[in-house]
Amino acid sequence: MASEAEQTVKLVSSDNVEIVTERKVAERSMLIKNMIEDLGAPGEEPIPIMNVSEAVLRKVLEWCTHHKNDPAPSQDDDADSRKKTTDIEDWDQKFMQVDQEMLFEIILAANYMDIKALLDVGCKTVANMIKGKSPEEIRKTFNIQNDFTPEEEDQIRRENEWAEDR
Amino acid sequence: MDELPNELLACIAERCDFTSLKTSRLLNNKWHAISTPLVFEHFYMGLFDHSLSKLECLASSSLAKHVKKLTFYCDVLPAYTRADWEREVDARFGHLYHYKNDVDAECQAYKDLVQEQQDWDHSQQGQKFQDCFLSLRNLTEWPIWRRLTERCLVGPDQWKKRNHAQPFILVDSLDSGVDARAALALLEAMGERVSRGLRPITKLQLQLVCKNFYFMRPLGHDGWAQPVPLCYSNAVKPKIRTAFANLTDLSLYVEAPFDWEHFGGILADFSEFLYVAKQLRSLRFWFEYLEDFSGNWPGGNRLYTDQIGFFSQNTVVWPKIEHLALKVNIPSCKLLPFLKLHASTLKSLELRHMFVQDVPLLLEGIPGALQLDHVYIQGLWHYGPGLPQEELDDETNVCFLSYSTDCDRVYETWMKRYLLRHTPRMPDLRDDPLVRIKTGHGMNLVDYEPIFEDRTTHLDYSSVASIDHESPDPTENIRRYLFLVLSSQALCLQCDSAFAGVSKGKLLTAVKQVRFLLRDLLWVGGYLRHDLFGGVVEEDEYR
Repeated sequence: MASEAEQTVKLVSSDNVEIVTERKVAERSMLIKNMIEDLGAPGEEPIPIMNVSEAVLRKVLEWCTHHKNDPAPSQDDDADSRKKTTDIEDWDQKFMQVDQEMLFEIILAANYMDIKALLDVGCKTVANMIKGKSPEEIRKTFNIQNDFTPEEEDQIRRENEWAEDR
Repeated sequence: MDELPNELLACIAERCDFTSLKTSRLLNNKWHAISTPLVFEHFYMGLFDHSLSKLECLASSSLAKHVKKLTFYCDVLPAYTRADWEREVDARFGHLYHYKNDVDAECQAYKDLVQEQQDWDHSQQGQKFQDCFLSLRNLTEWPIWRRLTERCLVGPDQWKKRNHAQPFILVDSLDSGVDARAALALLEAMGERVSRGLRPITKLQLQLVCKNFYFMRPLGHDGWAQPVPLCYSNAVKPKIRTAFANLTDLSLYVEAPFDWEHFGGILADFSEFLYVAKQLRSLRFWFEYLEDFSGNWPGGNRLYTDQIGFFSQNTVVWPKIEHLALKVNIPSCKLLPFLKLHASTLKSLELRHMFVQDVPLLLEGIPGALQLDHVYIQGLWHYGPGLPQEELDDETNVCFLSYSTDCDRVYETWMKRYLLRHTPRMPDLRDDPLVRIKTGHGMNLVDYEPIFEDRTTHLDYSSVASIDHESPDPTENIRRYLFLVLSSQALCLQCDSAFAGVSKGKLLTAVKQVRFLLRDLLWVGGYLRHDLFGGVVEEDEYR
């Protein structure tokens, strides 16, 4: 029997494409890790990743491969300090240079597959895209429909004055 | 982006800076709902009418429910003259200052703010604050200054940086009591909440700091300004006691003013309030002192402890206390029994920069008094008799654990292990780095327990013995020290005397010769600079 390091697993995307990858790479996803533990026979049963298409799954696995040797997330991984910084590693920044549709697909996949570090990078990327822009610029960038009346907008601007900038 | 579920939009919002959060409230209803709680969960204010107006608006709106934390800054604007203000204009806004013609308006904006603070009246603004505070039902840095500094070009950064060497009269009449006015408004409002049956405030960080107290105009007969302690009527006192009685977490930070008699009064006030805080689980009790311990204190050697009555209690003061962080001068003979009284609950202890009568007694006694899970001690200044080592007999002020128990070196690590009862034997206090430098005592590595077992097995003790302090060529000594650094983390060496008598030029040459070793040792760069080379070699010179 192959050692854990050599083991591979079969993943099946939502469009029914089978992708074989190292177990260690796949186990960056807590969803897959838990499924492997539950199934007990890695490599034999294909694991369905129902909400993720082949293109997105390959992209996610590219990230997992690069980060396969990262230390396991610690208990305080959700700590505020980590969220507050918008610093992103160079490799991750390049990895996230994709069109908006793919960016949001990656965020959705990271959330579904329970890959906290990838979700963090994706959300920080979007946060950085918002930074320094006016409401109108943000709406234009992300194609967001403004559903406020002018009066409502004025009221929100007034309320914003109550909170000091930091 | 609209297709993302709210849960993921919230993840993005959590990673946005504050300005982006405010902007995102304006995007659409979905973003508005997500960002609004994050924008208003922490309200900051200063002792200003305009801050109070914002709080009033917020408290009377439906957004009040989002406020969970409130920071009330007590900073006091110095009443600069026009010339002083111009000199102090923040360099970050300097370019604006030079190209704008409305200098008069900017200076006036500053003076208006000073006036706003001076006009703050407890019976009016204090009462308004109290009313607003009661409306923040879910209430459980210096951002306030950012916008103000843009308005009047001068902020705390400017008045803080001035020093004694620049004699400078700031104000016509300084009323440092404005600090206390903010604290008083807050404490009274906290008590009032409880009397009205609202959810009590359980966590409080209170700072009484007069940032410009170094530069106060001499007012009193003794040459120092006269700070005003908390001034309250007898009717207010029960409210403050009620406020303290409900606290579970308290950080109390007070910066000591010059006037000892008044300061004693402040201490006595807080001592009384702390005594009723029976629900406390965590207490950070810090008193910041002047660094002048020359003996010229108006109050002599009292060290303020007379006013902190609860340290002399023989019954438990805080029956639920789990974490205690102190920065207050107290003799070991009082502190140890006090700690022992709280041994059943107290599992975490931090002591920082304290003047302690008989430090050895305290350090030796802590493991006997407490079974701790966490300990942090830094900078305990010994005074009075009690140092058993004859080398230290003549020392009046000796600082122990100046590098803190978190320092990753043999002595400090061992001390921490001792304090946590991981080893029964306390390290020799003469090996404390600062003590060692004072006395020339050499650390005896052989006597130390093997703490870093994987490293100490390779430690070549003979290297210590073979270092020739008189050697005209220090290169070999450096090599051996570096070897020790590498192999044992045994940085507590007699480095200061190792290079005695060696010229700076010769030492630099030697350092350059072993540069390849230093390059590999960047991870201990800080230690190298301070300990191995004793400040002789600048960072750039061995890079």
